[in-house]
Amino acid sequence: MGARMLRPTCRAFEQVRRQMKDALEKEKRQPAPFRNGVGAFVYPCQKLVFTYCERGGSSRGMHEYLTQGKLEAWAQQHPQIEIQVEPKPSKHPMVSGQFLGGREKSFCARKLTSEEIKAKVQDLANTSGRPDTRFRQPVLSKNYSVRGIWSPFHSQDLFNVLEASKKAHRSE
Amino acid sequence: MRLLSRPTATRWHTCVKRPSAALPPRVVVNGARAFCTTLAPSTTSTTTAKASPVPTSNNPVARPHSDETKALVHRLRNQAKYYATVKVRGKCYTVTEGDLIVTDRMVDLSLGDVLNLDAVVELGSKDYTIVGKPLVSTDYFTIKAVVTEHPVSSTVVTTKFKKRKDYHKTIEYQPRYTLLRIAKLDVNKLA
Repeated sequence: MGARMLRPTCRAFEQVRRQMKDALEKEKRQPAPFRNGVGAFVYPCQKLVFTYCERGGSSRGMHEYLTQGKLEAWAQQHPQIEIQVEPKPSKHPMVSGQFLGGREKSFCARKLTSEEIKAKVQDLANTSGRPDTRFRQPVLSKNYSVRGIWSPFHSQDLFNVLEASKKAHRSE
Repeated sequence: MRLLSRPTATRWHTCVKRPSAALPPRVVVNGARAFCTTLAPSTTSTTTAKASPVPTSNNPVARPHSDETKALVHRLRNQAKYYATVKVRGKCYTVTEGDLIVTDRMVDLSLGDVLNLDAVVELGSKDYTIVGKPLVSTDYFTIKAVVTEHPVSSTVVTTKFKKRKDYHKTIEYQPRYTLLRIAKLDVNKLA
């Protein structure tokens, strides 16, 4: 995926982003960080591209998914997502998504049944295009700490380390 | 937690127990909490509001707040930044505005849903803190969260092995998450 050429829509997006960045840099301003959901929520998945082969056996499930109206029904429920279906002869079927910020994410639908494809498409559309990551913190924050770091020299009661250690000794 | 945008909320949204009789807020001047619980005796001013009837969503016939309560909440409101410890499905998360909460997958939510987080254990700023007993009254704050993503984790591999017993096991799994963005965290002005 890394060596693949950017799609035309992505290239246009990159150009606009570059122009905006240059304009802000002229005025020595940083662009505000985009935090989806603060102020407005933008659906992260913008486009899905389905590819299939007409002859290949690995595309059987994909045929079923495309022809039995399953994709059509799903597309009607998600009018915000652009959907493109194209044949790719002699290749395994693929579903690739384009997301906000020019990110791309895809999965291979080789030998998958139509139901499996349906579930995987839903999973793909539910992400923001970031690679699968294991989150180890409960909260992801970029803000500075509200309360700051506690300091013994800047609090209302001065924290006397010597007295505290003496007390601890006495109690022992 | 109460769902705002979709009225057909399922069972778990309302599973948070509200206190039957709302308790008065305890406003603690910053620094007092740390010393009370550790070594030095608390010499800082710890002001406790008198028991005043606090209107809740469960109590439609609510009496107005006392002047003391209003003044104390107003002190907190005048601060620049706030934090809150919210409960989502029984787990506590300390958040500020714009943060992302990583929760276990909530199947009944779709992207863009707006949640009203009303189970708050603690609400505070740099200098003041309101500690709930067990929860802070919903009149004091507005916290809204937006469902932004339902991501899947990378594959986690755990292995089990027992010596001399011919026992090997490899378990692979992918945890599923739901990410909630704190779209708004504000202290209300009490009327």
